[in-house]
Amino acid sequence: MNTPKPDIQARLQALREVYAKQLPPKLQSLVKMWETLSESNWNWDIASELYRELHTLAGSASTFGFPEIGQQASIAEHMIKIWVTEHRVPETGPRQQFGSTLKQLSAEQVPVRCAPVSDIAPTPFADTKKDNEQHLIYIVDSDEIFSNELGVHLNQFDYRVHICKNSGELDAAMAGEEAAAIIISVALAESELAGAVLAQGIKSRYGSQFPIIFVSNHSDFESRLHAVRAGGDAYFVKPFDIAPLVDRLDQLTKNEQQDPYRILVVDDDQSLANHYSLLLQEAGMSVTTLSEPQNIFPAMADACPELILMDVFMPRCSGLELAKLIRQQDNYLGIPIVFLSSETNQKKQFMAMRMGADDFLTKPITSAHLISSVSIRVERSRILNTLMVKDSLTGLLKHTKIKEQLAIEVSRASRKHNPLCFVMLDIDHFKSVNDNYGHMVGDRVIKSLARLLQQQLRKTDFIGRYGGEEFAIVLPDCPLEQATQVINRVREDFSALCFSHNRQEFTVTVSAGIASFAQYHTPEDINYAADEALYAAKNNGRNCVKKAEGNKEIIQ
Amino acid sequence: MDSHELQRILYVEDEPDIRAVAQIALEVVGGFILNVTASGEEALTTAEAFAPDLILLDVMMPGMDGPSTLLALREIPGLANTAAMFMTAKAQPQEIEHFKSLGAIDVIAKPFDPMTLSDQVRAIWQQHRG
Repeated sequence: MNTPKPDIQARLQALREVYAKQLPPKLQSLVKMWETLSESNWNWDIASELYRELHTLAGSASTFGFPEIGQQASIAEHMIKIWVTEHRVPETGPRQQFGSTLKQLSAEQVPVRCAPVSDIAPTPFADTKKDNEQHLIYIVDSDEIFSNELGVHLNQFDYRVHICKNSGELDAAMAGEEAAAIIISVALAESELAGAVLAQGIKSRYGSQFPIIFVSNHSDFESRLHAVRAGGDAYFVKPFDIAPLVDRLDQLTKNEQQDPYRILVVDDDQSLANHYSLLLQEAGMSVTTLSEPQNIFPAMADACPELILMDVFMPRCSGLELAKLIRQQDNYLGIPIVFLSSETNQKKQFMAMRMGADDFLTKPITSAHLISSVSIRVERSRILNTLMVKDSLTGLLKHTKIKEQLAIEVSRASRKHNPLCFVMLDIDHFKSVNDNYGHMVGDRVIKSLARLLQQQLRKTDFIGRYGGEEFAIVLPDCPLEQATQVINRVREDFSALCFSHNRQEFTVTVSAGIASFAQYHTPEDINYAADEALYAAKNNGRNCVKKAEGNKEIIQ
Repeated sequence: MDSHELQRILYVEDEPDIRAVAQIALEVVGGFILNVTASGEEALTTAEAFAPDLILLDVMMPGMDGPSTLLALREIPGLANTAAMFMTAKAQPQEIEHFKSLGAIDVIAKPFDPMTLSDQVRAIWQQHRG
């Protein structure tokens, strides 16, 4: 590809500034156009023009660095598009909604307001390796080759492994050191279901304190059912990818480290809201309360809830209306809404469900019932969310998501005057890994790097798979020197990982470029600078980390 | 297909801001030779002489929109088989299929990233050629 000339950023920046200047009057004119349209008894020419303007805005705002405006415009565009193409005058409800979307759009601050993600205090880079070293995993399988190979993989992810060939060996081992989890083959040499029987025995003897993961050659209903009945927490069919197994192990062995569930409680009765809040907080959730429904959107933007628990009867605006209001915003379509009410009339409950509620809890409610209803929904919604925003191979954020996150974190950093670094990281000579060992092995290399990054970086960092073998990382609250140290450690540890294929062993290295917010002030500039630094690292012989040079490349 | 490399792009876009960014993206970043036109009508007057390798069109424009511009360009003998791409915001899968049925090799989503637009265009071109 052509190397971009240094004045590109400056030229783009100039265009961006021009665009930003035009934006507020443009947004105002959209509102005017809407007002004229509403008063004109719906003139189709004006409607078409408004549609076109919104379409243009939706398509351009992000290019110039205003993703939120682009998003809002796209919501409005979508609504008016249907009316214009179907030549249908909208009813009052959608009309009002469209009007308020436009108003919201015109009230948008330029440069763009920070996206709604809750603020998290900086956390130090923990030496996660040490945490994991305590975790011992028992593998029970008659197939020693399988066990040994799995053991090697788990070692790479910092789990200690003890291999048992049969139930006797497991019993002996359990008498010694406690395991963090047990991986059992459903079939053992003794019989087709010996592993399941063994697991059942463990569960009945020790309770459910040891998570059990089944591995099996069969994926049929019967085998899975046996595994579930034997108390299995997960089930993997051989041959399986190591990454999902390690993910599951991480979850099962480090449950307490999960982010607390974020819940928003809406109840006009402040004391009741506080009561529910307390119950949920005691269960380890992070709760925000709201007693004035009209503040729902700022509250949601601040708290970024994963579930809304809402009273049905409120004076200003009923819970049903509020639910509908929330559901009409595209980006809140997926958020679970649970109603709390003394209403026992099933008809009315169904009515609430139709308005967009997911569940209906009847007051008075026991704390156990409340907590489990809420937890179950949040857990499922987290899984769905993961599927939407994450790369299926690595579980890292997808390209667009990591770029979005960079924009969010840059605006946060500028608001809070915090440091921030952005890293572009690329596997060296990846093509030759694929050529020499095949794509399956290539995938394994990519997944291993993804896992290593997840282990060594903080929970508050954002890691994305940018493309094939390229990764992008956002490190909030992290100055350049510290970022360099951390990424260098990743680089060193990765180069020490030993991969094997057909008894051939090989190692792989990475190169990285880092740019810091202290020197580059827009997401585009940081991204570009990190990319340039990565090129510099590649040109410098690879297997190294380069910092972006700073002001030198910025032409204002 | 010949192994002809992508050099000359006829670009049709009515929106001046987007035109300016795309011009930098394609000319300066991508190193392409560009003929920038602000409407379908303008494109029709210059297209034949410019002899593009690729026609890149915005979909929604006042007057002639992207699809009708492409249809009109196809009438010009030298451009009957020239590769074409549309650029548009938030295209639904069935819309993309519709654009392809009009003879576009692919659709580029707006908003685009000026730093990667050229790579994207080149990748689609190569895929099409390959």
